[in-house]
Formats: sequence, C-alpha cells, structure tokens
Amino acid sequence: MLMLSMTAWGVQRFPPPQFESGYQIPQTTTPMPHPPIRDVIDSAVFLVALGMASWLTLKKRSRKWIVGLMLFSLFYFGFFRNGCVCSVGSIGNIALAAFNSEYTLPAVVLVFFLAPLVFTLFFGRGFCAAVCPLGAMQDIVLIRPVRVPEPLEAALRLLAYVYLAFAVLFAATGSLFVICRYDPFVTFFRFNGNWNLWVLGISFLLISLFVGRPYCRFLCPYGVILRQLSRISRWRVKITPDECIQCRLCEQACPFGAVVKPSKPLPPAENARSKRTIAFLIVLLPILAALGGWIGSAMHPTLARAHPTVRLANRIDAEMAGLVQGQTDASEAFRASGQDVQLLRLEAVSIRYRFWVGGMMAGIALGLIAGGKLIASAVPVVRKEYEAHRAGCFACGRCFAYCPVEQKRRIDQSIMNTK
Amino acid sequence: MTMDYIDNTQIKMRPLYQGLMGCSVVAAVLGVVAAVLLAVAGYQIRVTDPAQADLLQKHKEQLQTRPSDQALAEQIRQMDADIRRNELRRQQFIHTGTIYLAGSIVIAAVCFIAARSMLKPAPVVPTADSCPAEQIQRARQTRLVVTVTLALLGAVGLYAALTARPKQADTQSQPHSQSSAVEAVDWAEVVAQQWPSFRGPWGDGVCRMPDIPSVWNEKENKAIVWKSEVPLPGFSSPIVWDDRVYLTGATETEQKLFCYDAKDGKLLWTGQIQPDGTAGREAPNIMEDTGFAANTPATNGSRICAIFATGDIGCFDRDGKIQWQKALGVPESAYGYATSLAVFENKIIVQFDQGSEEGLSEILAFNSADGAILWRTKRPTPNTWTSPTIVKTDKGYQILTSGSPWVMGYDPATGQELWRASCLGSDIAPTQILAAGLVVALQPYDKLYAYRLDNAGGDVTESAKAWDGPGDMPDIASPVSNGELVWTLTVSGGLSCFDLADGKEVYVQSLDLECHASPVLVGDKLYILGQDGQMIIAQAGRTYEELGRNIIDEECYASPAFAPGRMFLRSTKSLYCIGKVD
Amino acid sequence: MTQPNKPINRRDFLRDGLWGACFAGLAGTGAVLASKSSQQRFVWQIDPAKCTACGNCATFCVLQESAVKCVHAYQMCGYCDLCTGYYRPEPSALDTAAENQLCPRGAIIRTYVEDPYFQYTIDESLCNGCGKCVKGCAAFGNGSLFLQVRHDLCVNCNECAIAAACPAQAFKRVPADKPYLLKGQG
Repeated sequence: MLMLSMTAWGVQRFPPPQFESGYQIPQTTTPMPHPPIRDVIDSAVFLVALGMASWLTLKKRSRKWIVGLMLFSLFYFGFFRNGCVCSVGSIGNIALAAFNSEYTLPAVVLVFFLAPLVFTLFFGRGFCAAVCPLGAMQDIVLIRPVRVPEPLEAALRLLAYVYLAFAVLFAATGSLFVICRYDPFVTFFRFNGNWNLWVLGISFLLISLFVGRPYCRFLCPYGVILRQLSRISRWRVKITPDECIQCRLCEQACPFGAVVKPSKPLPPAENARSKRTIAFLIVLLPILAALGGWIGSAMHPTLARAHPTVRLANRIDAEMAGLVQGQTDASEAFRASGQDVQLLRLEAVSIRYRFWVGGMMAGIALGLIAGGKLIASAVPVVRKEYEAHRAGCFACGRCFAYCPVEQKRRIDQSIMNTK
Repeated sequence: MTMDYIDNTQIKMRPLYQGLMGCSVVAAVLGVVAAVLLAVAGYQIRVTDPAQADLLQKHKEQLQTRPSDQALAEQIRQMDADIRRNELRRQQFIHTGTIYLAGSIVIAAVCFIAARSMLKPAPVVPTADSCPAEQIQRARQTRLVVTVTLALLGAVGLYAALTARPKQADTQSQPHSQSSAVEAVDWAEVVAQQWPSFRGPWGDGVCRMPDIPSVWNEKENKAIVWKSEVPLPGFSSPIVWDDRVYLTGATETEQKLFCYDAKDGKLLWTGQIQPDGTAGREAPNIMEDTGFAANTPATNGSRICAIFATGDIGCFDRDGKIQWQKALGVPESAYGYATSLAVFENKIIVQFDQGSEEGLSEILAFNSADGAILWRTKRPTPNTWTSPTIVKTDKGYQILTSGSPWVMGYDPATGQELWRASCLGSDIAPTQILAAGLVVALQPYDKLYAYRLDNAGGDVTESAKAWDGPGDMPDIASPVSNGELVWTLTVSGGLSCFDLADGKEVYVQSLDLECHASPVLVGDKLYILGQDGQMIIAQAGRTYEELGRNIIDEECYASPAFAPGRMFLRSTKSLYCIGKVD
Repeated sequence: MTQPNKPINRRDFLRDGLWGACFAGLAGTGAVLASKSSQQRFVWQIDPAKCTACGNCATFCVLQESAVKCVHAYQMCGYCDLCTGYYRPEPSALDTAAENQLCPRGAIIRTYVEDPYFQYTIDESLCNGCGKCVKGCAAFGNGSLFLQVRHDLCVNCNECAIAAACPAQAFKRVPADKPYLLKGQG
C-alpha cells in the first residue's frame, strides 16, 4: 500500500512471456494530431477576413455585410476551430516567448497576434468589428443597449489594463495563461467545459444583451492595445465620409458610447483652471507610478503563488514546519521523485524575485496609465462635428444607418450605379 | 436612452417581421429549456453521480471483508452497470444539449437581428446641446470615478500584499541581503564550507575552511588519507560538496564524471555524457596540452554539472542519474575549449567563448534541475580559456568574466551585462579574481590590472581603474590574494607579489618548480603546487618565506580542492585525499 | 489625412511621427518574435517517467471526456493472470465481474491468449484517464500501462488545463510530428 506513491516507472517484475501459440504482440496505437496545413489555412482565412473587414468597414460601409462576416468568423474561428488560437489569448504566448528563451512560438500564433495590430494601425478596428469571435458573440446578442455613463465607462476600462498587465506578468513568469483560462466564450465554442466556465460564459452573454460588448470594452486585454493603435490609424471608420450637418440624429446611435459630440472651446477662466488641474495631475503622475510600483512589488508573494513551483515550495515548507497535515498530490510526487528541497526553495526564490520585479513593473505601468487617464480627462477637447471615437469605435457600422447625409450618399450612389 | 423605433408600426405588422420575431422567441424559449435541462444534468454529474460512486466504493470494500456475500456482489454489479450507463447517457445528453442550446441562441439572435434590421432608425429627440459647463462637469465626474476605481484597485492590491506577508513557514529562512526584498537562503551561506567549482565558490583560490593540513609525504605515507585511481585523463580540477568529490575525465570517445566518497575514496558512481546525435561525431582537433576534460565541473549540492571540450554539457543528481544533457556544438577554440563552469543557486553558468573574432561567443545560464536555458547573452570576445566566477558584492551577486579585451560583470539573475573594462589582449587563460573590492585581471607576460567594483555601469575602462602594474605575468595560472597582497605564478616558477592597494611590486621569487596549477591561499599560507607533485607552503607576507615542502609521487596539473580538514589533489593518474589520518 | 495643398501642421506632423514609430515598433516586435518562432508545432504530452497517476487527468481536461487515456506498452507487459492493473487488491475471483475490477469504467478488456497468459486491451471510448490501472500496474506489475494524451481527441488548448493542475509537472509541449512519449520504446 505504501508503495503506491512510488508509481513513477514500475519495474520489470514479470518478464514478457515467450508465446507458443504464435500470438502477435500488438502495437501501441498513436493517433496523430491534425496536419500542419491546417495552421496555414487558418492563417490565410484570418488574413483574408481581416482584409475583408477593413474593406467592409471603410469602403463598402454596410452593416449587413459586416454582420455577415461577423457570423462567418463566429462559426469559423469560434465554433469550427473551437476558439483557439485567438488573438486575445496569443498575448500569453507572446509574453512567454519574450521572457523564456526555451519556449518556441508557433508561427500561426505570431500571425494571429501581429496581423490585427498591423491592420488596426492602417485601417482601424476592423478586427473587433468582424473577425474576433468573442466580439461577434457579444455583438449579435445585443438587444436593448443600455448607455453606460461616460465617467463609469472610463473607470471600468481601467480593468482591462489591469487584466493585461497581470496576464502578461503571469504568462511571462510561466505561471499560467490567464486570458485563455478565463476566456468567456470558449465553453460555447467547444460545446464543452467545466461548470464555472459555463457560468462565466452565460453571465457574459446575459450582460451582453443589455450592455454592448462588455468583455471588449471593460476587460479585453488585446482591445487595450488595439485602442491605442486605432487612435493613430491611417484610415478609420467615419459616420459619413461627407460633411457632418450636425443634425444630431446619430447622437444615440452607438451602443458602445463611441459616437462623440462636438464640443466648443472653454471660456478663458475655465481654460486656465483646467491648465492648473493638468499641472497638478502631472505632478501626481510619478507619485501614482511609485505607489503602483510599491503595491505591485509588495503583492509578489501572493502573485507568485500562481506558479506551481512556488506553490509546491510553500507547501513543502509548511509540511516540514508542521503547519499543515498530510500531503498534497504535488508534494507527494515531489518527495517520491527524490528531488532536493533546497534546490526547490532556491527556484521558488528566483521565481518570487521575478514576480517582485514584474509586479513592480506592472504596478508602475498601471500607475502611469491611470495618471495618463486622469490627465486626458482634464484636457479640453475641441471638436467640430459628430464623429466615431478614434479609440473606442469598434467599426461595427451601426451608426451608418442613422446619418441622413450617409443615406443621401447611398441613394446618390445607387442612382449613379444604375445609370 | 435606448434606441427607439417608434415609427415602425407598419413594418412590424408585416408577416416577415412577425415570423422572424416569432422564430426568435420560440428559439429563445427552447434555449432556456435546454439550459435548464443542462443545468440539471450538470448537477447530477457533479453531485449525484459522485455520491453513487462513493457508495459503490464502500460496497466493494464491504465485499472485501465478506467475500462470500453473493447478494452484495450482485448489488455491486448492478450498481456498477447503472452508474456507467447513467454517465454515458448524461454525457450524450450534455453533448447534444449544448449543441441545441448554442443553436437556439444563434437562431434567436439571427432572427432577432434580421427582424430588427427591417426597422428604420427613427430620429431621436435631441438632448440639450453640449455646452462647456457640461463638458467640464463630465470631466470632473470622470476624474472622480476613475480615482475611486483606482483607490478600490489599490485597496485590493494592498489587501493582497498584506495578507501575503509570509507565514511562519516562509520566514524560516533569513531575509536576503540582496537588493531584492525576497526572503531567501543566501547562497554565500550555502557554499561557505563547500568547494563547488573551479578554485572554490568564488573562483579566487582562497580556502576559508579550518584544519587544512600543511605537512604530508607520500613516500612516508604521512597524512595521505586515501588515494584512488582516476580512470580517464583530464586537466580539470576536483570539486567537493559535503562528503562527495567529483571530477571529470575524457578522451576522444568518452566523457565521464566520477563521484568519489570523500571519506574513503571509493568510486561511488561514474556518469557518462553523450547527448543525442553526438554518437558518430568526428572528434574535434584538441591540443594535447588542453585535452578533452580541462573544464572543471560545478555543483550546487543536488546537481552536478560537467562540460567538455566538445561543448557537451550534462547534469547528474547525487546518485549519478543523468538529469539532462545537451550538445552545445563544438566550440571553435584555438587550443581547445577549457573554460570551467560556475554555479550560482540553481544556475549553471557557461561562458561559451569561441571563434577567432568576436560574434560567436555567449554566456548562458542553465537551470540545473532541467537544463532549461534561463538566459543567454552575447559576448564581444573571441575564444578564451578563462573561467567565469561568482562574486558577492555589497549590492548583490555578480558574474565576472575575462576575455580579449573585456573584463566584464553580469547579473546572474538575468544575464544582463553590468559593466565592462578593456585591458586584455590576445589569448587569455588566467581567471580574474575579486579581492578587497578590486577585480584583478592579468595580461600574460605584461601587466596586472585592478578595477574597482563600484557598481558603475557601461564601459568603466577609465573610470573604475584602480591601477596597473607591469611584471612577469603568467599565461596559465590565476592570481590569488589575501586582500592586502596579490600573487602571480608563472609556469617557470616565477612568484611575484604585488601590493593590492597600488599595484607596486613587493617581491619576486624564483621557485625551482614548474607550475601549471594556480596557487591557493589557505589561512595565512600560500600553497603552490608544482608539476612534479611537490607543494611549497609559503608564508603569505610581504617577504618570501618558505615554510615547508610536501611531495606526492605523481605529476600534477589540476588546482587543489578543499573540504574542512581535507585537501584533494588530482594527479595525472590518481585522486589524493590529504588530511589527518584517524 | 493632410491635404496636399495645406502645409503640414504640428499636430499632424506629431501624429505621423507617432504612427511611424508605432509601425517601426510593430515591425521590430514582429522581427524579434519571428526569430523566436518556428514552423514547428507543439502539442501537449505526458512524460510517463514523471506521471504519478494522480487522477487529475480525468477531471481537469476541458473536454467532458478527457483526452488523456490509458495506453498499453504490450511489449513490456507480463500478460499476468492476476493483473494488478485490472484487478482490485485481493479480488474474490479472477473473473470479469464488476466487483473485482479496478477500472471504474470497465474499460479494460481481458482476453485469453494461452495458458497462463491474458492480454489486456484498453477500450479508449470507455477510458476516462483516471489512472487507477496505471497505479496498480506500476505498484505491483511491470508498469506497462501508462497515460498519454490522445491527439485524435485533444483540442490542443493554448494552455492545457490538466498541465496546469498536474502535481508532478509531467505535462510538456512536444513537437507535433513526434507527439507521443511511449514507454518501452528506446
């Protein structure tokens, strides 16, 4: 009974028999994984879909076609390819590859990570509009959009940055791929999954009925990167390519709060005041960064527990100190393997150290981002016409139908075409 | 606030719209039914079925106590069949159920979207015009809400940080003196009484252990505790950890690590290193004076790592079981690769300098447990024959290396270069040492250089230079220092002594020895090993004073290794243990 | 974009510069990552030397039915009549009755070969990868039963959920063209 823990290899206790009846020893079967060509096809479909999305959002400007592509992506990348590989989850692989020279990045993952970034830099967030299956899932179920107040939206968006920072930290330290593990819809894509993930997925779906794309807006770590690139994209979605007549019909058109109103310059007194606020916030910036760095680094023992080696080292230490009773599977396996505790401790220490450094970096980055957000909110904006927000617009194309200028343009165009 | 479709009553009366909406509602209702049924099945799988399985297990155990109970056996069979049937049925159900659920959601959504798309967006009653006041107020609200969120996030972080204060188990170990706030076992304490790598834990040839013998003689069998045969040749030095002595030996065809019992000299195990794909490899052309095993192995106690002139590296556990091995590729080295391994915590440091010009060299750290490369950094040096050494500074640990022309420092945690100083040239073999805060490196036949290790970064050739001093510099043996004086030793037996404070020559003494092994410092004595097996013990002072000579009968090239009360000498044929014979 | 006849103002110039920097940054990141990437695909596999048959494979796989199954290295097998991978300790009889079997799924098929040898085959459609037989076989037998990820079933998650839960850290990424770590082969 005691021997049961020593399962590792087993021993050749009974020599294989010499058969006399001409019995043939069967071979162990080894069914192979899918052929490599599938990766090539996936990458090609992905690139074509991205191209299509850019064309549909910028040139064709048709919500119907965008929905069509969205459904295709949902079926292909979601249900057919089981939602894996996806660009959002690829952040984990990229972070691991960047910090761990032992890990080889599969080429298909690189394509999925990089292509949407490049496309966004040129054409805006067509990826979010019609290629990402997670976005599509939320977009098609949006029935009665509730407007999220702007200040709340700005605050909730911080969560996405936090998620990104910690996802990178955990992946880079080789602890876990948080984004993949808590992918909200992968259970649907696989028709399979554990209970908690079903609950998570269904909750997101229910929220998505009323709040437009909650994951995309408030959590998606990849969306955070796309937002920034979209700010400076070469071309991007406009409510109408023609001149805005300020009819205000599109004001409520966007369920994601990404249609922004024109705003006038501030009166001089207010302007001076906002300048003072900005100066104060700029001074605050390094303080926020330092505070973030301090909290992030102080969290390292907790964060490091995400790493199996640290958990094991903690457990073994607790067992040796008599703080806990019995053994876990992991500590039992460790003891059975006869490895050295001292070495395990040293390894745990070096991992904790990485978390200390990484936690600090993440904290500093988050402090700077939050400070930047505060500053940005204080900078007065002068805008002449209604337009799609550079960063926040998912390029879903809903607003086109609301714009009378756009309607007229379409009618003109169809007349031109019929001539 | 939501989109409104007030003017679409007519469209809503159309049969198509009604039909689509109807489909959507029906699909949604079916979806809800499917979800409820799935939840029930899920509950059964999670709760009811495991309970059944437990019961079955109990029954089986009961049967063990009364094997003849046929009724119970029958019951078990029935239960077993039931459980398995249920499980398969539920799985089938869940599989189809989820497809139904997803299908109904998609149908509901698509019908709904299609129906909605028939409607025309109606004008929205405009809200009040956006005015500066509103803008200012919104900005203020945004700042407020963002600040509150930040405070909440910060509070969560702080809570996590505070509850993470190490529990008792974590605080057993002493706080780290290193720059990190991480609690740790300090490496310096771990290796204090060990000889884990070439010239000791810090690679400086200083033995800080008590009771090292200073008188022995093989002919009179005085103070020779044991002598054991070494099966393969090699110029590498032995290393010691607790009660084990390790050394390497190799020929063109074999690369081995030997483990001896420090108590009685018994060969405990022999480990062979032959990574995949190296079996039929053509043996590289290595100079006879270097040989295939000039690289000293290294150990952190639980793993013993060896590298050879072929660039094959491997690691064993204490019982001689190979843990991992790799072929790094035969390094391009004029006399043959001879650099020893350094060890720091779980990292095995390989200085892999090669090629006649820069561009091929790098320094790597392997995880001793599994051979994973923890970091690798390119090095701007051609082939060298020096070894990396670990040193402890007041700002933490560093790796020191020498090459042509750079003496460099690296961070052992990341492999990042910390500083570099240009002073060496051509082929370098003597290894740098750290003494009293000075890095001492030497240019064969020419000069001795000292650089302050004052944590300045970048190129410190000028800024950190303490002094240089001309002298008859060796081309093989590494220097040794007691923190006040530094000694160098040439092959022809020229012992030079310099003042560490200013580099001025203190004395030069010509010894009648041919020396390949580097001198070591034991307490206040210099131990100088000659090729003929003679070892001179001299006073480590400002004048040369020979205290005695000891002899073994075999030729020696390797530097000695130490354990408390013991010295280990490797001759061309044997391993000697010298110490007090009980 | 700026109109050709309008002088470039400072804002546009900054934006263009930033855009260029971002593009260069992306290109650089792409190049660095491409140097670390390879056409080689990787799949998850269990190192049988490390596996402790803890049972997590049966419960942690994202699939309802785990993609980990028991496989049999027949050439290592002793073909025992009393197979400790097949029978519970101290079975009441060496027959195929449920009360004597170790496998909770009845997934091991016992067939007579010749006196006194029996062949044990895994019915993978029934096996749930719990590893009870693996433990039994390794403890008292030759250890010819062991767990492997079956790649016709595995969806090759970016991060394998079982790997994350594996107490012995026995899961590793292996090249997709050599996706098995079989016992008794070289």
